[in-house]
Amino acid sequence: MFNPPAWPVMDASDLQLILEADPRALRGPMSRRFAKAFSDFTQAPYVIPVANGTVSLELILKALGIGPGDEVILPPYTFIATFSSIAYTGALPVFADIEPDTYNLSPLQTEEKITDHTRAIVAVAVAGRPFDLDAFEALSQQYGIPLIVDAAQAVGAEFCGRSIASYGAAASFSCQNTKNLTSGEGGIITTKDPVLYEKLQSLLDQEPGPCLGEVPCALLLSQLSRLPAQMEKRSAAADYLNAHLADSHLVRPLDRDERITRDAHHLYVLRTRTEELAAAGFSREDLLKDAHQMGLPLLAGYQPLYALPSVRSEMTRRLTGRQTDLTPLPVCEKASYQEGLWLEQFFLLSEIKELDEILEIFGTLERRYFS
Amino acid sequence: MNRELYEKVLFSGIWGTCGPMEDQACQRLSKAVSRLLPFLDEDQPFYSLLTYAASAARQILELYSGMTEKPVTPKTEPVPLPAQWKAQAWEADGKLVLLMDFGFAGALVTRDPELYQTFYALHHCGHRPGIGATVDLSEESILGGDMRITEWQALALLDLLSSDSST
Repeated sequence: MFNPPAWPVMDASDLQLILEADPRALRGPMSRRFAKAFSDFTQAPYVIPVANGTVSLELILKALGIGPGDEVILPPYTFIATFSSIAYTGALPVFADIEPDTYNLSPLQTEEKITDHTRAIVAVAVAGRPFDLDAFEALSQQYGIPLIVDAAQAVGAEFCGRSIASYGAAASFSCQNTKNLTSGEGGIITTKDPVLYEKLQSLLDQEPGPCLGEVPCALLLSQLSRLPAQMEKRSAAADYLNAHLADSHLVRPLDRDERITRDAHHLYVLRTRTEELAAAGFSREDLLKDAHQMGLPLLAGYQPLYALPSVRSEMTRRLTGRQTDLTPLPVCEKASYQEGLWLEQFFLLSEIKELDEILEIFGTLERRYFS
Repeated sequence: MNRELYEKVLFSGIWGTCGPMEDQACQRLSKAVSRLLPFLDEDQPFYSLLTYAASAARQILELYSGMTEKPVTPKTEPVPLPAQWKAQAWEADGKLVLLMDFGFAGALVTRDPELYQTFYALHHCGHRPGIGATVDLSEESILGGDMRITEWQALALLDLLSSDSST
């Protein structure tokens, strides 16, 4: 079995800060210190630490006044929280397809789903890779619809040299246990809009429960100091794997976009070369199974949200007032069921020797399938 | 603050949901409620479910109400508990649920296992108890939110339960 580096990373400096925090307090000094540090890190003027990366989306949607009768566009290739946060407001989630070369929401497909009832677009930086923020900001301005950046996996990511936290009406981050910046559970809202910030603060004044506790804020503060070096290491590892897998007959890395000046690499995503594998009599499922047997825990990734029983349920229809269109979307179908492959972020914290072991597994399988 | 416990949790690397401290806090709370509210106790044990805030626990009750199409009616009389605790009894289909507010966290306590399963899924992105936070939701039929607590909140709750001699 391939053993990735342990995650999360911690030492005595984390403990020191934790012991300074009041475990029963909310919105205390650690919260303020972390908000300031994250604002400095992202250049986002307003930062609010909250309980998790789902309630952060719920709060942004509420602060934007979104509710029953409204429609919110989202991709189907994401975690359920993107959907549930919209459904819990009473608004109707509307799926638009993703792009085949990035697995991020397609601006063209999104534009086709805009109606008179559309009140927001929630675009997700899948795997920590920024989506086409230029195109979505242009859409947002053209139609007067707020863009919400679901950056749950994208802490530290940059597009055209700007932090992803500085785009859209607001951005939402997750600090759940597997995330690149973690306190176990946690979320962060960033915005550059002072009016939206005041509305968010007002919601939390009325109900402070969703604020992040002082202990996780203290932990995020110490974890944040490690993030830049970890990001460098992940980027270098991804570049190394991409370069060595460029000519693989099994898989291909996601296409490069020069405007992405920093990919957060929460996941290392590959696409199965399905046609070549099929011609040799194999599929992604064979690749997943054989890689697992060789000790590499590749993941198949997201299923389309529209296929999940909870999304199709009567409960969801009641919450949203109408049935979300559950028609399968072709690019998402291919990504979910034929092509997508993930490695979790901590594999990218490996040393070159371990990365070479990963490459050797791909090489062995390629020789096996195509010999 | 118990330094040893915080050190133990930190270096375990398990800081989020479904951790051992949450499990301990749930068990401890179930026992405390059972002792404090003997008139509610029959043969079955109490199940406790912790949320990051009392408002999140309330949201679960409201969603449950929507699911069954049978309104959950809050009882007007507060439940007698230690001074630091705030609790309200709710009723659904004749089944009693305690909604608890500890300030830094909330809880739902019930002795109905089916209700507990539903509440659990609603508070944990649709996942059932014991499944953990996997990405595979292909067999889960409840649209859950994220109302989970951290191990840090569970430690604070354990501390609160320990400091109250009546529990």
